[in-house]
Amino acid sequence: MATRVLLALLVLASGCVHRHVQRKAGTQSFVVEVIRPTGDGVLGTKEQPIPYATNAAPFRIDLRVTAIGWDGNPDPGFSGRLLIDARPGVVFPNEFNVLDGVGTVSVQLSNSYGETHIWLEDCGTRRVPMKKDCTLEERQAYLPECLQGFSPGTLATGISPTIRFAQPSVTQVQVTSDNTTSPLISLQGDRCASLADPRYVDITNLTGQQLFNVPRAQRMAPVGNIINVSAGEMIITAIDNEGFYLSDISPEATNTGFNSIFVFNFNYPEGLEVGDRLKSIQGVPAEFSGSTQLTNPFWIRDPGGPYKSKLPKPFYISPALYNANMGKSGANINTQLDLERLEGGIVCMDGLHVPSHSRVPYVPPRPCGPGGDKRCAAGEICVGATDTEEGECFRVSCDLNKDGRIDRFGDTEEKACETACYENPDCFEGSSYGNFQQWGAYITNITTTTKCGPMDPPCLAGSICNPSTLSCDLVQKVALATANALPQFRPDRYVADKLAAGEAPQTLAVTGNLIQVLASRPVWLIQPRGPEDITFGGTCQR
Amino acid sequence: MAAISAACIQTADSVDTSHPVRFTWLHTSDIHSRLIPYDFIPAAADENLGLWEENAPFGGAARFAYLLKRERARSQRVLHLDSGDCYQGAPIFNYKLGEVEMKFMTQLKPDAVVIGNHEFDDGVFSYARQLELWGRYSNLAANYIFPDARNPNNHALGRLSKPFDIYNLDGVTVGVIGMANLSSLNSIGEGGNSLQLVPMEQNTVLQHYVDYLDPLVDLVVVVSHLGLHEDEEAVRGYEHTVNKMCTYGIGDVRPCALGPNWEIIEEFPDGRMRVFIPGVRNVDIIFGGHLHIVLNPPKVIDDPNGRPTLIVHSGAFAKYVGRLDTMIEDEIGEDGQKHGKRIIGHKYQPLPVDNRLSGLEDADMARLFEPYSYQMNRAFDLKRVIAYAPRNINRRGTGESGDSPLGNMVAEAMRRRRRVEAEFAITNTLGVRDNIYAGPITVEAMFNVLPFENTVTVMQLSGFDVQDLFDYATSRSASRGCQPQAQIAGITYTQNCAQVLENDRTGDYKHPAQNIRINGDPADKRGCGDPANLAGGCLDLNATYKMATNNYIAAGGSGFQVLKRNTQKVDTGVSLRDAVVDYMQGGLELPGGGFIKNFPTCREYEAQNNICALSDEGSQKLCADLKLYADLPCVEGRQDGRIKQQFVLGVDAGAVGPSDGRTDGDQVGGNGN
Repeated sequence: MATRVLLALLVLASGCVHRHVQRKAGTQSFVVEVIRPTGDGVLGTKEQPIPYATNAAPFRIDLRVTAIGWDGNPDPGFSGRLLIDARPGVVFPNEFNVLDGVGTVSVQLSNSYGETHIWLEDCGTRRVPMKKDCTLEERQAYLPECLQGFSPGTLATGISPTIRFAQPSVTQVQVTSDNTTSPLISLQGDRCASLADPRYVDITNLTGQQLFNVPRAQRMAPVGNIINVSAGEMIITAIDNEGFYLSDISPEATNTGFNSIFVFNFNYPEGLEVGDRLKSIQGVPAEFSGSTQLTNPFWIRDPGGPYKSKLPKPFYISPALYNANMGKSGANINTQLDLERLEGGIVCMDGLHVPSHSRVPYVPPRPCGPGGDKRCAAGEICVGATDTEEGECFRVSCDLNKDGRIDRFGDTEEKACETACYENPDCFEGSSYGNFQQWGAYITNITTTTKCGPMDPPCLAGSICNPSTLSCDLVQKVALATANALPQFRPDRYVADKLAAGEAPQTLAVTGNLIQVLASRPVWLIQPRGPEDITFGGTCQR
Repeated sequence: MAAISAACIQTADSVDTSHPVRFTWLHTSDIHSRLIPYDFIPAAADENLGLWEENAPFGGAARFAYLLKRERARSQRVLHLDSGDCYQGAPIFNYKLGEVEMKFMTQLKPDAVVIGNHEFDDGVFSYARQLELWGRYSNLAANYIFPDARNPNNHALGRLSKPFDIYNLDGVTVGVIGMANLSSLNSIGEGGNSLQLVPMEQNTVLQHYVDYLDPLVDLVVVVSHLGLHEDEEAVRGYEHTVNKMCTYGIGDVRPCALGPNWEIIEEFPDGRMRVFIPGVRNVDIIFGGHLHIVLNPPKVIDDPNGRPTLIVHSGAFAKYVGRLDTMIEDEIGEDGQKHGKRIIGHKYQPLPVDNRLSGLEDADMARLFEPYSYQMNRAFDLKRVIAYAPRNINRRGTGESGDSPLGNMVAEAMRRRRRVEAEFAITNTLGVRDNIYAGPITVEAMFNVLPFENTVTVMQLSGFDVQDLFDYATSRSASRGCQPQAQIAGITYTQNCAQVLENDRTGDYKHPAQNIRINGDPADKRGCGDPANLAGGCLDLNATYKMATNNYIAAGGSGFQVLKRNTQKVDTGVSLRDAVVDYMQGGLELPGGGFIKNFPTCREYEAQNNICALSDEGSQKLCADLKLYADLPCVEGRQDGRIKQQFVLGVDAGAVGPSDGRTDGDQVGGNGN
């Protein structure tokens, strides 16, 4: 009681602020009515939402828009262009005209999910000529790509009735046609906001590709959208210090692929363990260096879990499959989506060799260590030196200027080093390991018809001679992140230590989550979950 | 009471809002004194939000003001709300202790501002004085009880703050409640209470004000500095452990009064109980801060009635102005009557404050700021170059260890300070506020890195205390993705976050900080699992160690209770920032005479690394700089594995424990398949 009195006294003491209401003229808002489709439930209900609409099969809706004044009455004085936007989703067309306070428009919606609204906004007119060197005749003809100028709008806005779409499944989030981008991730900022600053390019009618041609210094942040996934059967397959992986193990999703994803939580996920099933997960789809993720998550866990028996079996990636998807120098072949289909899921590869240090071909050998003031150059280490004997410099880091990254733009020394190291099975690129704890293991049993017998020329770069078959095997590398699972394993010393001990190095079989990292070479990475995921001399279950 | 308050709100006859209408919210937060445009290299998160390196510099009061004016002009109904922490983070605060920030905020004309935790950095009396002299805006804090401002021994915040404000914008009425920070105000809950305020439980007090305002206004929003987690708990509710019995006076011990609708989950034999505090109903939007993040899009969380609440966070350091556009319509209750309004759609855009606004700066704000900028540069000599960094020295680690190059340097600077010369040093990671960027290192840059006026403190700790200290640091790190929350020098250890999770899960406690070595070699892989094994500097629980730290965590800041209770501490009064600068420029005297510099000159650096021999553009530019700054120290940070991290659940802690004779490459648990 005393607390309530105290709080009440505080309230009275607070005073208040008010603003006088002024009579206003002009347009305050727009009333939006649906002309078509008609009938009960055509805009979807909570119980029966409209199926998720794709670009190929959009949802069509016809709208009538009426301008309303500040007095609540229709305002026939408004004539002008309204921007059309959808939240969430992609809408076409982007604008239409209202004349004498009334207008109608047919709209197509795609990639919308959950409760969706179409916004119709008077944001003014802002046009930057999209075509350079417009002639006077083209400008006088009001050719759309030659228009320029700006006039402020009233910010009067109308919003459609709620259209209820189904939420996407994991597959619908993850599926891609270009090996990277999810269709649910917007590429554009708020077009109404972009009209405000003359330095932001008006991105009206730009496609995704055109948007990438806009200098990035001119871009705005893309719109974020929240999804709430509950379809399928979502099982947690791995947990780490930044989040967790989940897979939709329903038969349809498993057959289609693209059914796994990483959920970025900034931290270990509280209250979850491997094998748990999620009833739903809410989050924001995002791309992180080529991997689709859900960020800012909120989940509802099935209290009956964990269901360890439901964990999906690791998908075996054969050397042939891997090779078919890998381009030169460790990049993707963007038309090949076999690995993209597995992104985020549990996979296994075997026959992985740990590279020894060796000379990158164009670096001449150079002694180092005791016996004189001999040093290795940037990007090299001294290997094999003892208290009394010299060692040899090996180029092992392609980050020559030590700025923490490999500069691949243009013909740089670092890029050449990285390419040469990728194609050389024995080359261990140290900066990836030092900076990101990733290293490239190599597989070689991808045969070619090129012979490499005693009378044949040596195998080309990117291949090595198989002593058993005397034919050149292609070399491909796959990145591994073993440090968390097996902290004491040092891949940068493994071969040298084994040879020094008189033992033969063994190949690895590695199970883990498959991740794409466009910023590295190779771009595909397997992240084991624990020591049980790494076996020396073992094989994957086929 | 309702009648009196209702009289404050003029009802609108001339504006009809029966159709859905637009309402715009401009949100700023955690400006942290970034009133002068500054450089930094945006990380991926900032790039995704439209902040690009080529558009530097960022922030700045005059550009910020222009952007807000522009967005106000491009709105119908609009409110600007700020989530606090305008203070601290750049030299202008160190120079004028908040006067400039206060004038800036007043000129910005926000509609409401909530009190942040850094507003108290120069003491509550200083803050109150600056607010009284220069602050002319609504200053809100509903969850603090202030002392009587009429008492000259008390500060005046009670008179200068209020719990809420009400606005009427063209017929739409809005109640704005301020929720100030609780989690980062150590001195509230501990002895002394130098802030002279009583914090109140957030959900209880918020529901009280919401229930009061809800019948009177169309929308109820909160401007908060609680933090995202607490903002979410305000809506969802949360569990908390409280005492069963409370002391209300001498001899007056009774069951503690619980809040309305609190649910007792479990009672413990030690006199505590676990309760569930329900979420707050009928809040439309929470504009939050404190964590310096942007939520794009805003989060949407259902309150206990299933009504959605938006949570908006708009970043920090004057990098963004958040613009939230909402469409609102009449909310019809189950009784068929109108009960205020509800949000039926929203759009959010963070607007970057960068060089694209150059030439558009607000002239009034620029005129306000200019004399201070000039005086400050003279007083601090901010542009003086003290050293050169060939590449970034990052405050966060990458790769195989958790220590960071810059954290290592700061800790080393403390440890090696003349007359300190401690065996090891520790500093809190979050006390290092920025990276050192490649290029000339100026005095101003050092203020950005170490803005707080912390000093070096020396103390004696037992081995048990050292174990406690690093166990706490590990626990704290485990709750933050295993990112180390302490930076160290002269000591190495393994931060086993997996063990923290195991301890929570099983209740079978094992030390999460393992293999602690004083003056050990980071490359030494031998474990310290056997307490009798003191090889390689393994921690001796019965020994005493001399440690250097900063005065903030020495006083128990950031939860370092083991340091707070220590009675062997001496504050040297040496500024931590000065210690780091001296470390860059100084060196070590050798016992037999002679001197080793801590860092080579740039001339020596180039000779060692042959940078000028590389042909790429970046290296050539570096070569030119190294020649220009040839005689200055060339400072590099180094990560050396002094903090090892163990992340993975289920990994046997013995894998990184005492050496078991396995060679590298053997599988843990067997060979082959």
